[in-house]
Amino acid sequence: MIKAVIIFNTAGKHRLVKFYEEIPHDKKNEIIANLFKECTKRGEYSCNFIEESNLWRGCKVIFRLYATLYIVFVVDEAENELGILDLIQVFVEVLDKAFENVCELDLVFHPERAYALLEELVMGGMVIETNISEIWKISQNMIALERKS
Amino acid sequence: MQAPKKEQPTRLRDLIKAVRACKTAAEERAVVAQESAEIRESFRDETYRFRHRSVAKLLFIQMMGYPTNFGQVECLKLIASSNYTEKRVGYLGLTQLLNEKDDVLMMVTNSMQIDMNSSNTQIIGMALTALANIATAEMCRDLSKDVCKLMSHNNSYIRKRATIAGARIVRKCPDLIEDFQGEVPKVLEDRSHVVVMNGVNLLLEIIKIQPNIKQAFVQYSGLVVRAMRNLIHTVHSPEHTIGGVTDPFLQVSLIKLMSKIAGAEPSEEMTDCLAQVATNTEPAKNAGNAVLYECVRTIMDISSTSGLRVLATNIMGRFLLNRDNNLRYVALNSLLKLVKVDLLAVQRHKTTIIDCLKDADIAIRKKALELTYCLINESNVKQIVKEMIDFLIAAEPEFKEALVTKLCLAIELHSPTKQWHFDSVLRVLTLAGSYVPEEVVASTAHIISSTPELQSYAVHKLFNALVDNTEQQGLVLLALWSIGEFGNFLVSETLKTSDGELKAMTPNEIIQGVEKTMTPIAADICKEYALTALIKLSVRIPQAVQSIRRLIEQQISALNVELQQRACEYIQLLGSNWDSIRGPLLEKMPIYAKAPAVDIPTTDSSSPVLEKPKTPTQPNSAQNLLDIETLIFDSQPIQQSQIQQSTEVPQPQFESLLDLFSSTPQPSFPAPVLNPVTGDISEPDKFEDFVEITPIKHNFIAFEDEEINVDFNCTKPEPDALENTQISVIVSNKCSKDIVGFKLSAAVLKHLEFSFSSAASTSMMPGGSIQMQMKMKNKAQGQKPIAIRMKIDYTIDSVPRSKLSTVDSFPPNY
Repeated sequence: MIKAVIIFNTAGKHRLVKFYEEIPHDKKNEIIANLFKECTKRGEYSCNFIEESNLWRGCKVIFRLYATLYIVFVVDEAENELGILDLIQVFVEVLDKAFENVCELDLVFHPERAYALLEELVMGGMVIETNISEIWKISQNMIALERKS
Repeated sequence: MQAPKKEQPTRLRDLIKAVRACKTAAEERAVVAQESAEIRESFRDETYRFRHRSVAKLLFIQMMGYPTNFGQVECLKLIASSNYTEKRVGYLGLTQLLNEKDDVLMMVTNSMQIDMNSSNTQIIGMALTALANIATAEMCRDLSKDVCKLMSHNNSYIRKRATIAGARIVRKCPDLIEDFQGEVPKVLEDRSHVVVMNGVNLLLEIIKIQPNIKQAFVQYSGLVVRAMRNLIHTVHSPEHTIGGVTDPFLQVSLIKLMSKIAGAEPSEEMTDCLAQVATNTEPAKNAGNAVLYECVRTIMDISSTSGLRVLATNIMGRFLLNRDNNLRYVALNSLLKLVKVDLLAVQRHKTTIIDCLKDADIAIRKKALELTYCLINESNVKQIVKEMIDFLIAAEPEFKEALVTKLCLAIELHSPTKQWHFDSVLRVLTLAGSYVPEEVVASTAHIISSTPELQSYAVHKLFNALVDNTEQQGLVLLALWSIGEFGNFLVSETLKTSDGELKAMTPNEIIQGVEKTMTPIAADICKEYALTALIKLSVRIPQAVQSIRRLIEQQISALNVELQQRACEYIQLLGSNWDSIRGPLLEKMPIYAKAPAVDIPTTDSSSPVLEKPKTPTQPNSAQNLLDIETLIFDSQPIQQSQIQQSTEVPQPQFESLLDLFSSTPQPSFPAPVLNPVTGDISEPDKFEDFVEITPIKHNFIAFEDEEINVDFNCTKPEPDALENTQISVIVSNKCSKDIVGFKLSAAVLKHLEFSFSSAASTSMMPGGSIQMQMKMKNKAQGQKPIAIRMKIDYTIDSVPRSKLSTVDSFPPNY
């Protein structure tokens, strides 16, 4: 199960924060701060996994750095690390398609769209759709409906 | 300004801009606080038109980590709205701003139910998403029927969402599993890939919650295998293909499910299918490797045939050789699991695994170390330990500690000969002696003392190593201990070994060697060991008594009370009036029964070696024999006579001798035994009285590490009010840097009261110290001891340190 999807930039500013588990507000901030610390520690050629028991008990962290953004997935033991890496790639491609060459500013100024796209990809901690064009279609649909209302 | 603002509140975009323009965190907080206040104000107005904009702004504020609880009710209002945009923002706010524990959540159940029966698929989807993300058990129960119905909706967009919502429901209300169990086969045969994948995920969730109903799902294994076959063989549209693999996400889910429903004996068609996937999947891209990796995990989980297992190990072997660190990481991870089942299969990859120890990535190195450690056995220990020691040279401090711990454990457990054991530990000590756990030093000392044929060799080797290198504390301690115990071999014997001759030393050389460890910057513990080594050498090498006396005398003025006291005692002992007992008193330590197995606390209980029952440890042996602080001179008449007897009949005395050394710095025989100022030794017959009464003075080290030292000098200022204690706290800087901003705080139990006079200064130069006065009143004096919890904060090189310590070495009746 996916426990959290978090995006922050290389300066540690939160860009998208989604927890799929009950966690008190303060604890969330603490977890993200620790994630940031661990992610920035890793070298350019290091692997994309972090397994620190003090970060989040029984969970693995899978992250990828795209330009200035860290995309971080926290998942439990049952998840396939390599599969999650692919999922991160799918997520980025979805964002890229929706924002046309996504950059950090897109996430800054349209957080609600980023959240909506994530909800098409992961729901309640489970992967719901991995087909990029399908997600794209749904999001276009949504925009159309919004315009109408 | 005020009036138009009410009409047209700041847009989200402007808020974001304002926040981004902030230069300091305080400015940002101010902007957020101002905006939050305005939003809160705006919510008062029931007819407010921009409610969704406010909630969107709250989402942004929440993401930055600020509290936004006041917006919760607004989300509910938005969800109930008929406007699509408002509803969407409302649902988004619901999942982000609300917690499962918030009572407001209950109020949304009704709106969600209405939305689930909407004609707009998007709206149904939103309600299902909200349920899957935050529904409470109660909500799950109320909406379970609707979700079940939606699982057979004619739109796959709804079906997939309903399936995942179902997973939330079974997690929250396990008693509803039956309702969803029936839907599973239908979903597994769905035309849509994603619905199948979500069906598999639902099934995995059900099995996770109730593992004992696994058996009921074994019947689906045929279905799952067919679905898998279908995926591999038929050609699908390119949009399902990632990296040349058809829907790797679905494949991974199906393979994962196989491991759960394989039953006791996996069916032949499942085994075939796994073999097919393992051989035919294209490993060029990450997607293919994800499938292969999942395949390996399943093969290891089920009771596979050996053929399958070989296939899995080979895949991992390929991963290990890959240049992609991610693949190597998962390979090491899987081999760590495999090593418990099939050690031999993993042994074949030994060389590659050991190579990973020098990888640039610390995550890989750590995994490789864990795995290497599991691979060590009697037959390969020499080779692997040699390689690990080679890596130790290049390792950075962060990794050194882990490496040394595993290395010492491996040497301890698998050493073929004692000589090799000693040689290996010596190498580790020479390279990284400061990282070696104390227990290893103790158990090596035990090996030397219990193996007479090794003693001469060991003391020569250690002495040479010490002369070359006094930086590594572990090495210094072991060397000093050995020189003290077996120094006589150093002067009398020249040894021939395979790698050259170990020359006999002159007494002068030996004393110079010890002197090197007693520099002013050396750690106190080293000096303590050195002092005892010297006093022992006074009987082993009588020619050197003069230099020994000179070295001990230097410590009489040591700042450390322990050192000062020992030095005074030893100088007295060197006096001619103690000639008769000095010899027997400074005899070699008796060989104690058994060295404790190295018991290094380890977090990974998965390591197979540690699963063996541990050798029962004897709490009071090795460590305490080395515990120089409690050396013999805390003597009492009875104990002295015991020592004299012990040379004649050593056997039955062991117990009492061990007792002698067993305690930590012992306050029960207080300082008056020796008066450090005059050096007088009190007459033995006075002791009886002394032991019983409350010690008036008591000095000890309350806290010590490599940087600072905190001494407590306690006195009872008023003889008729023994509950009062005056503690003078002396903090000294042991490191070579300035300490600034020193702060000591303390907490005590209820029966204690204390007051503190602050120090004159909060900074210390290297070697400097500060003094504070503490008044302690023990209201339960005689019944409860004094214990203080101390927190020490200070800064070195602008790096703040914070240390905690419990001080409970006060005498029990103090």
